[in-house]
Amino acid sequence: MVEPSDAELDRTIIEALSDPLTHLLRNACDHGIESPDKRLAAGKPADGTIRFRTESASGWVLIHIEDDGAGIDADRVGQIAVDRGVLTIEELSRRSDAEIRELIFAPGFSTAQAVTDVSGHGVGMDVVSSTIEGLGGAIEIESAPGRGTTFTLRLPLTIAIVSALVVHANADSFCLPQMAIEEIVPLPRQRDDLTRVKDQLALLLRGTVVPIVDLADQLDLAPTSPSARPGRVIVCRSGRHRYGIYVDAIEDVEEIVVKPLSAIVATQPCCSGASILGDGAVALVLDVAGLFSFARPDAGLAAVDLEPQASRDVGEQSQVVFRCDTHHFAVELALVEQIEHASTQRLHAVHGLMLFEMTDGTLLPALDARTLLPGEAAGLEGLEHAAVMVLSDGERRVAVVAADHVDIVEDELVLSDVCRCPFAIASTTRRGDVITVLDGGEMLQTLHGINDAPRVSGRAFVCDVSPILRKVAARALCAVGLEVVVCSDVFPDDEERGRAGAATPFALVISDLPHGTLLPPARHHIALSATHTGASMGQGERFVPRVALQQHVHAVLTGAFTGHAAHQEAP
Amino acid sequence: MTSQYASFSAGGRRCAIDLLQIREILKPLPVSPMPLSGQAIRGLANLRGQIVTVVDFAQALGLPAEESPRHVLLLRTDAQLAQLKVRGRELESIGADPIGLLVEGIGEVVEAEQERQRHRAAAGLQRADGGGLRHR
Repeated sequence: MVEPSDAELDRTIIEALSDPLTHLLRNACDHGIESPDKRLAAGKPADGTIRFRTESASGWVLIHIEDDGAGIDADRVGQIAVDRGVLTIEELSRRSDAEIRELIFAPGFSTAQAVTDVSGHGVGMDVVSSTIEGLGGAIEIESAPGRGTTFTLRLPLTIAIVSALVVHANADSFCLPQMAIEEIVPLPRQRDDLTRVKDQLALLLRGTVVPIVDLADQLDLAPTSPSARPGRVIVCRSGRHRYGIYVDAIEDVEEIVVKPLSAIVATQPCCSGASILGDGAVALVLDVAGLFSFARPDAGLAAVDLEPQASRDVGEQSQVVFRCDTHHFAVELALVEQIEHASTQRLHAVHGLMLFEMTDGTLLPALDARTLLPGEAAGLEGLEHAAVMVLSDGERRVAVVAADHVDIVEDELVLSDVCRCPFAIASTTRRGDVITVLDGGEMLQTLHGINDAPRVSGRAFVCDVSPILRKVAARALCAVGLEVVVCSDVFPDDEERGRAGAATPFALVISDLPHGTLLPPARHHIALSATHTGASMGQGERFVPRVALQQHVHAVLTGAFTGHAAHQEAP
Repeated sequence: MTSQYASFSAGGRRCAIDLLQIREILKPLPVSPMPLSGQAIRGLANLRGQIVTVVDFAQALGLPAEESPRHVLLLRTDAQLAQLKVRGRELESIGADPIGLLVEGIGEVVEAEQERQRHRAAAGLQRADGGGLRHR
C-alpha cells in the first residue's frame, strides 16, 4: 500500500532509487511476511501488509517501507554472521540487537532459508545500503520480532535545483537560496551607513533594527582592501529571526544544483552545500539558519526585543485625500473609521454647531472642510450629497464633511511647512495639486472641546520614521508646553546627535524604537504605539492619539503614572 | 598478501597509498576557499562538473603546508570503494564528491606486504579517504 505524500526528490535520486526500493520490497515479501498459516497462528490476518510512506523532514526526505511480518530475528542474524565468519562469537556478544540487525548490510549476507524466484539472487542488502550512501543518504532498520520491520531511507533534499542569489564577499562567490531572502537593501555609500548597537552591526530599516552579519568578517575571508566597500544588505529570515547579511556585491540569480559537502568539511556550520556556477567556479551555498546560529548577530541586541517591531514595517503613513472646491486636504488613514457618501439631509446645524447623524442615530460633531478655506466659505446649500469621513481615536469621533473624497495615497509625501489654515500640519503636492495635511487628532480634540490640556514643562525627544507622525506628536507635545526635538531617525549623523544631546537631558523620549539602545538618555521613554486606546489599529497603520498622549505625558511627568505598559523608567 | 601501492611524497616524507583508492592523478586545480574548516582544507575545485574537496596532505599530517604541490591524488570515496568491492566495477556516484590530496610529487608503484593494519593518517581524514598507509 502506497501512501500519497507531497515529498519531492530530484530526478537523479529517483532513478537511482528504483533498484534499492525493488530490492527492499522483494525482501519484505519474501523474508518479512510469513506464510499465511504462520500468520494465522500468530493471530495476524492471513494477508500481509507492506506500507510505503514518505515524509520530508528538515532537509531530508524519509522513505519508510513497513511490513507487518515476522521481524528480523537478531539471534538468527547473529548466528549466520558467525557461521559466515563475518565476526566472532566474542564480538557478537558485545553487540546490541540493533547493531546485530545492521549486519544484514554486510557484504554476502542472506538470512533467507529458502531462495525463491522473487528474492535471493545474491545481490544483498549491502548493495542497497551502498547505493543509498552513494546518494549521500543513510538506511536505518527498526524491527520488532513478530510484529514487523521498518526500513527507513534517509535521502538528502540537497541534490536539488534551487534558485539562488550569487553574491560576492571579498573575492569569493556564495549562493544564497532565494527562499530565505526577504529583501535586498542597497547601501548609499559604504558600510559605515550601518549603525552599531552595542558592538553589533545593525541597519535601521523603516524603523526596525535589523542585526547585520558581515559575511567576509564572519567567514574569516582575507580582506581585500579596507577602503570604501559600498555593499548591499540582504535581509533574510531564519525561523523567528530576521537578520541582514552584508555582502560586497550581488552578481546574479542562478538556478543552481546544490551538492552536499564532503564529510570532512560538512562540520562547518555556515554552508549547506556547494555548487558549480555558470562560469565554472565553485561557490558555497550559505545556510541562512546555520549562519545565524554561528554568528549570533542578536547577541549584541539582547536588550532589544525585536519581535514587537515586526508589525511596524510601514514607514510612510497612508493618507486619505479629499477635495473642497479646488482645495485638497489629507488626513491620516489610520484615524479614519469610515468614509461615507451621505445625503446632506443628515447634517444638522444646531446652536452654531454642525452635527452629523450616523445611520444608527448617533450625532457626531462635524466640521465642514470648506470653513477651513480662506475667504468666503460657500455653505453646503445646493449639494445633495457630501463625502463624510468619520475620524476616531478609539474614544471619540468626529465627522469631516467635504465635497468628495479623492483617494488614498500611500506614497511617502514630501512635506513643506507652508500652510495657513487651522489644523494644518504641512503642505505637500501630488500630481500638481497642493494638498494640506490636517491634524486629525487636533480636530478630534477641538471639536470635542477638550482644550484644557494639562501643562507640563521640559524637553522631549520625538523620533519616528514617519514625518507626519513626528510632526503630529511634536504638535501634541508643544501644545502642553514641552520643548520638542524632532529626529527623523536615530541620530543619523553626528551633527544631529550633537544638537540633540548638547543641552540638558531629555525629560521624555517618545519613540517606537527599542528603548535604551540608540535613543538619547532620558528619564522616561514612551512608546507611541502603547498609548493607543482604540483597538481599531490596522496592521502597520499608526497614528498619534493626541488626547491620550497628552494625558499620558502629563501623568508620567508629574509622577501620577505608575503603570508600566507604555512607559519605562530609563536606567 | 601483497598489494600495489602508489608512492608519493608530502611534507618531505615518502608515503604510499593503496592503488585501488586512487581514482585519478591531476595537476593542482584552482580552488575556492572553504571557510571555517580545518587548516588542511585548501578548498573546493571544479573537476569536470564534480566538486572535489582539496586537502593539503602534509598539513593533514601535522606538517607545514606544501609549498609547491605538483599533483593532486583524487581518491575514491568510501561509498565508491564499497561499490567497487561489491560489484567489481565502478558505479556512477551521484552524492559524495571525491577528495583530492595535494601532494609534493608522485613516485613509482610499489608492491608491499600488508604487514600492519591500515593506519589512520590524520583525524580529519579518517572518514574521507578510508585511511592511508604510510610506508617508508
